[in-house]
Amino acid sequence: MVSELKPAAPAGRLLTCGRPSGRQFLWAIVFGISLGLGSALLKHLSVPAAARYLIPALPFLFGLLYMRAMVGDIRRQMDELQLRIYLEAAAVVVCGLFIIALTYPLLEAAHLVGPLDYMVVLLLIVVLGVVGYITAARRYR
Amino acid sequence: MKNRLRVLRAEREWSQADLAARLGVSRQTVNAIETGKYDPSLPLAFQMSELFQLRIEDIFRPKEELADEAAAAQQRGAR
Repeated sequence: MVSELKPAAPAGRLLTCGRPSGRQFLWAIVFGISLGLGSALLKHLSVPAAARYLIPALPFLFGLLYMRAMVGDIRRQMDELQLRIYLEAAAVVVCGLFIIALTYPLLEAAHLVGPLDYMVVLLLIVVLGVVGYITAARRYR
Repeated sequence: MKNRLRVLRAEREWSQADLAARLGVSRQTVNAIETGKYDPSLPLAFQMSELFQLRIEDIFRPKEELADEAAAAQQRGAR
């Protein structure tokens, strides 16, 4: 016997599981644009001293708003297994970066590598995040 | 943790997606719970209990308890 489907969770809770909301998407775009514009302004124009404080502060603020929207999405939309997978991936990123941050100065002191570039750190975050997500997702498949 | 979710679901002729919709979780979550790869949170266990009209301990059992029961049944059979 099949009775009528009646979700126990709030309606639409999982319909957008894992997908960014409009708000998160918007703040990501604003954050990206402010980074690009700020970088171009500082590189190509001589800006007054006050603006030199303001220009990096704005992307930072938009980045925080993006983070808040993302955390809100995670809290509202994800079911508990998906959340666990995301948290495991985040743990891999945090622990991986922690280990690299502690061991990198040794490699630098041994003259095996040069100074750490921001882009390398960004790339490491992406790589560690993907590795962590795939590992966790495979475990629960 | 072992569970009778697959059996309870089959008795009602529900697919994993049906059960997931009733519980408000993803189908992957139902699958991971059924295969014993993931133990649900207490609120989700209570939701299942309410949905199947059973006590939580009638749905979920510790592995050790099942092993003890199996050993006891084997002993009874040997006698």
